[in-house]
Amino acid sequence: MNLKRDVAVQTYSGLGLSALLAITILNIMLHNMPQSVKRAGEKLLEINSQDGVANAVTTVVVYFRGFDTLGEIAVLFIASLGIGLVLSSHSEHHHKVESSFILKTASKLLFPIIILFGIYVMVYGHLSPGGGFQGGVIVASAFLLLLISHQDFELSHSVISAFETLAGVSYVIIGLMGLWILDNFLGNFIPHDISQMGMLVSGGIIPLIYIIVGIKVGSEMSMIVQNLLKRSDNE
Amino acid sequence: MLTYLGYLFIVLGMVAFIISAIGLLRMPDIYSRMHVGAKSPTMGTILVISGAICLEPTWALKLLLLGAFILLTNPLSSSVIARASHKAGVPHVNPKDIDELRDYKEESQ
Amino acid sequence: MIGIVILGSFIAIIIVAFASIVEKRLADSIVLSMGVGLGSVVLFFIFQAPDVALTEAVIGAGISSVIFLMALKHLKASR
Repeated sequence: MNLKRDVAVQTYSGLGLSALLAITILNIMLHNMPQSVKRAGEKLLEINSQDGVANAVTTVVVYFRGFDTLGEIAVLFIASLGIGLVLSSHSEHHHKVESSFILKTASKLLFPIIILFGIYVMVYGHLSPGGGFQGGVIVASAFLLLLISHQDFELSHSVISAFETLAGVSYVIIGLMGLWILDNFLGNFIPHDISQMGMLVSGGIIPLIYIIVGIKVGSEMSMIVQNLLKRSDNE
Repeated sequence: MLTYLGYLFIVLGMVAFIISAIGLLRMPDIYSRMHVGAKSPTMGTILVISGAICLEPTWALKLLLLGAFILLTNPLSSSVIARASHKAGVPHVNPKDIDELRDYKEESQ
Repeated sequence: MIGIVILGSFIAIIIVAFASIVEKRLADSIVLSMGVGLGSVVLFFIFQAPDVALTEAVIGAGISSVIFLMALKHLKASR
């Protein structure tokens, strides 16, 4: 088999590459890091300190690479669109598997806790690890739990698409307002004082944008999950 | 003093985890494995969390929340897995075992 | 100490990835690929990237495997 030989070759070369990576990383861990590698991070932190955001990763994702993040969200939207198109078979044969009483009760109890955790991860994205993408996926996993446990539960298409559209439009509007006020797409036009660093309200537009990203990612992922789940129930 | 109590709790939790791992290897079928894989890891996690509270008392609130969440989810997931395998028809190793779910289903039909 | 953990997770990732390629049954292969995500969560956390570790934990071990499993169910139903 040609395919089998190809897979074997790729596996062995992958094994070799990962062994090389392991040796390199262990080498770096055992000896000291080269000076140039160390200085790159310091330079980034120096620029980061001008924005008053405690989490450097957030600054890179939302501020320095804000336009790329917009593109990433568009890619996710296209993926959700593709799944909706591929699975749009209109057969009404619905066979239900009733889930147990324990699962139903516990998922009702767990759903608000998971939603709360997702919103926490979104809102504190500029202070601690986490942010819009992670928080959005956590919110989507809460909806996944509810969709699996309750057969008659269904997300409303119009509400989800309203949330998604509003989030996407407000991302672009905030970017354009930055362009208007500071001559810079996604310029940080809300006052952000360096002394506020580490507070919940700090960093100007960066937490706002991360919350918007979270809403958009959450609604898109919930829609993907619901499309796959409900369509695969229909025969 | 509190430090040693914390280490004691963590070691006890590790013992619970090790017992559960041995049980997973030695139990004959999926239902008894579920029994081992659900109960003693919950116990072990609670013990490790109480040890961590003793070591770092300032993290107590977050760790208690974590413990409550694990107490909620761990029995739920194992019960769901056991029920799904019962529904899929995974056989008991001993067919004469008490099976109340099967009896209930036969009664209701 | 931490070097041993790093090396152990590397070896575990490689073994699990190899097993998930070799495995014949697709459902088992998906479950094994969750193990790859788990190992990389440990690695990301040790290399001080908790953001990436959180993303990998939620997406790699949670959502993506669920989506794979649902796609597998869909494939079996359409056959």
